[in-house]
Amino acid sequence: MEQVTEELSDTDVKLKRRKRIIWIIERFIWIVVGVFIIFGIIFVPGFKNWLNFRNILLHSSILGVLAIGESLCLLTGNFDLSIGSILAFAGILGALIAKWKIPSLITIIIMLFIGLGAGFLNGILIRKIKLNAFVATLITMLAWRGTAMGIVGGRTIWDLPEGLRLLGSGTIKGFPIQILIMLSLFVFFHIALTQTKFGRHIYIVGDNEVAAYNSGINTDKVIIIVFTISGTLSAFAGLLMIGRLNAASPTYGSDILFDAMSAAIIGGISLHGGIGNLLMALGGVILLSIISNMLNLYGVSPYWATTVRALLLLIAVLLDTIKRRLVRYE
Amino acid sequence: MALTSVYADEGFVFGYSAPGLGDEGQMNIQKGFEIGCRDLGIKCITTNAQMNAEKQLRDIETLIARGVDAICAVPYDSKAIGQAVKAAMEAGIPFFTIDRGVLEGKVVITVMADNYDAAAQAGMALVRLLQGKYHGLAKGKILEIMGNPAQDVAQLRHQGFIDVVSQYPDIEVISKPGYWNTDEGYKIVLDVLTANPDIDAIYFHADLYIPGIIEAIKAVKGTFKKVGEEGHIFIVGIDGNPMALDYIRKGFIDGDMIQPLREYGKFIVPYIKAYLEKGKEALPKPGLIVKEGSPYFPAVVVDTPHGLVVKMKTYYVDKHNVDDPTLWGNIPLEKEKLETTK
Amino acid sequence: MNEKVVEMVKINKKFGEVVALKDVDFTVYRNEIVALVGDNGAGKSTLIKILSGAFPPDSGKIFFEGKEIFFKHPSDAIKLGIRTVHQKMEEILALNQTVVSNLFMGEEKTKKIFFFKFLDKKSMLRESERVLARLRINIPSLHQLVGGLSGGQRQALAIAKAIRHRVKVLILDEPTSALGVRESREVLKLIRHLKNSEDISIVVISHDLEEVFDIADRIVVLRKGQNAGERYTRDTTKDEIIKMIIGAEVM
Repeated sequence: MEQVTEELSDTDVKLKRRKRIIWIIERFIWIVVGVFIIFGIIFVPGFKNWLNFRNILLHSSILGVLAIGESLCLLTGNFDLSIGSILAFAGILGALIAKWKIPSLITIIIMLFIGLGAGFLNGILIRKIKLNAFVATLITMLAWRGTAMGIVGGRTIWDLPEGLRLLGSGTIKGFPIQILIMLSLFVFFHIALTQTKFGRHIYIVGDNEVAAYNSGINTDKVIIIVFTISGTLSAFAGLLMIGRLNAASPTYGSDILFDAMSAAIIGGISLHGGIGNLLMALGGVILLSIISNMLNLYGVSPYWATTVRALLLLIAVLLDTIKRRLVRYE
Repeated sequence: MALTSVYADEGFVFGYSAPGLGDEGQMNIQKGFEIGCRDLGIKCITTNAQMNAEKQLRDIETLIARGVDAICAVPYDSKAIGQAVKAAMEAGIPFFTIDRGVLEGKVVITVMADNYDAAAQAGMALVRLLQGKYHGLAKGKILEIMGNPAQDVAQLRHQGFIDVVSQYPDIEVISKPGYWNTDEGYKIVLDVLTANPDIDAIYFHADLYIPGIIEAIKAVKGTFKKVGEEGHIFIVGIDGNPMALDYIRKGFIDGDMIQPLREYGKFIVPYIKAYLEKGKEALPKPGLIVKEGSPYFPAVVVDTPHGLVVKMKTYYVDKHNVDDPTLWGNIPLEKEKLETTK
Repeated sequence: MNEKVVEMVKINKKFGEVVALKDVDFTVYRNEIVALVGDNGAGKSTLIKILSGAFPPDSGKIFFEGKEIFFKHPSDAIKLGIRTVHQKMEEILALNQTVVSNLFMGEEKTKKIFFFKFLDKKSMLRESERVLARLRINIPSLHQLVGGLSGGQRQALAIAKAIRHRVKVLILDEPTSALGVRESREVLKLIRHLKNSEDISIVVISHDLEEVFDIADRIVVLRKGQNAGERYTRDTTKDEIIKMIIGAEVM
């Protein structure tokens, strides 16, 4: 009888230790963020400054909004390549409409609807026309970018109306609205993901689509909605961008896709779907922003920046693999 | 084997291969060439590679097949274009480039802006502005927003600037790469200006950075001080597009180096024609080409292993001459239909 | 105890030219474990699919608790209390989700807070504990991810998922085919316990005669789409059943 109790406490200890390791790994991104912050405070001149921390958050705001949408797509086991193009297209259309003296509020609503429509189109292409996510969003990525280019002939639209720029460049008591919006969106979607039935379905579809279908979940609906959200958020990011730059160009958002995916994956969201949460993605976004901020403050050769980012991505992918193994099996 | 022109009786036909026509810069360059042809009664066929090196090669093959008398291209990829140059040579069609040079193969003439000189002039302009601020002393802190440091355009625009400014030991330059991305430029100004509130001037490699620069200054300082106001940060750069000219007029930026985008075509077309008619002796000789009254001259002519290179000057524009109607930024692009081949 | 819960009479089903079932009768009595056996292609899965509402028979009648019924969709069968647990675990469980999450997959419970519906995690946890206790399934932590469970535990979980609701007829399709010896034992124990502790009838499709003789009260044999014999387990032997499966004449 004594043997039995000893065995139990052994497994207990093992379980507790594994739980602790998992806890650390799931929050690993924040540990990395912490390390970089300490490094920055000590070695990088100008880093240790409240205004600079505000700047880091400004670096994160647009990327953060995009990372939310991209993370949701990743969680379902898909990905969205068109986020940058929808950002640009919505921005261009918004700027044009505003220049035609349409009131800003209506312009903003139109922009969001454009994103909603573009996202919905992605969802339909993937689920009803059965293209895979890569092909579908690659096509729409090229299409929206090309259309934006064609409409304005490569020109930049500058000097935009006050109302349109409010969310992107406005401040409340000195604090930039875009940061507040980005953080609020993270909180909102995090709660939606972890506390609602729909959020739970997103995870299940990403983890095992067949099981989800067999248990009665409408998998098409889940994925179409997720892409619609991603499209809408991309358009919203476009609004923030033209707001903070006071100009719209069809080239905006050309390189941001890589950063959005990197942020999500470095944060801990799995490429295979079903694993991760938005707080991880936020961690990834903040990390990338800290790095770009440090590179602006410190005199590092620009070539190293890309190398550093690549290394971090590699580390993150490795961590992701280790974590998945640990979490599933003994 | 030389292909005879299909239009031998009607005059010359030149082929123009654009790397892309999605930005006003390239559109103006193409217009300049087209107008140059029109003025001499030469027919011009334009192709659009839509930002794809492979496509540009195929476009040029198409032009060769159509039997054009000469080809003028803006290379999308200065190395990959070498194949097209070779193909044209084998077909007996002389190859020219404008706006950018080639890194492989030998063309007859390349006409482009002297990026190094443009950067040097911008440097001089900023030095003068700083001297104005500091009662004759050439001192201050300048933030340079570079393009993509891997490209030679950005390297030249950096080097020309640094070589001028480094002669003044009390001027400090902070250089950061913006990779031709407006938002990156915004972030650079945000970060550097916060850490260095004493920045006196900003030098940018391309007009696309302007909106980000202005908004970032607003974000950091709270307001934006225009030209002439106390606390104004001098802003000078390179390009000359309509947006930049507008900002100069409104007093947001101090000056811009105007690239002679329309001049390339206007300059080179007569030389192409002369070359076809008279051969090598019609080509410009290494040295200087002087043209009275034109701010884009004297142009420097250099013989290089990749062909003859003509570097035209850029023209500093500030509030005094911003309304000059010959500036490409002041000429509206007519929406005519170009004869393009796919 | 001899009450008929399900009675299928003269069931016929053809797929194109292939005759899957010919005049097959199948009855399920109350609170019994009946094994449905037969060689490959005997028609076992077709019969079971008809019973669970996947598709209708070409002809024949189905009675449930005495009343004739016509299923249009699996959900009709589910509503009456007929549930099937499929063979493949990969099609039922999400390995990176918790035990609770899997048990309630697709049927999550929610509670209202200020006009919004949120997951009622406490309630689902409590009910999960109850179901697992009912089945005497031993899983130490319900927050554990299913990927960390053994094959036997996963199978038990799949069964628990099915009987979380009031089930009258539980159909198990090859419940131990993918399991090792020890794990099969656990699952069989679970099935026996289920029958003994609740008012439920269980249909087990199996190739494994050991296991059939272990837990089944009655054995029904199909061969080439037709009835080939039926025995109470205690009245027969493995040899006899085998002969029925492969077709040697038996008296």
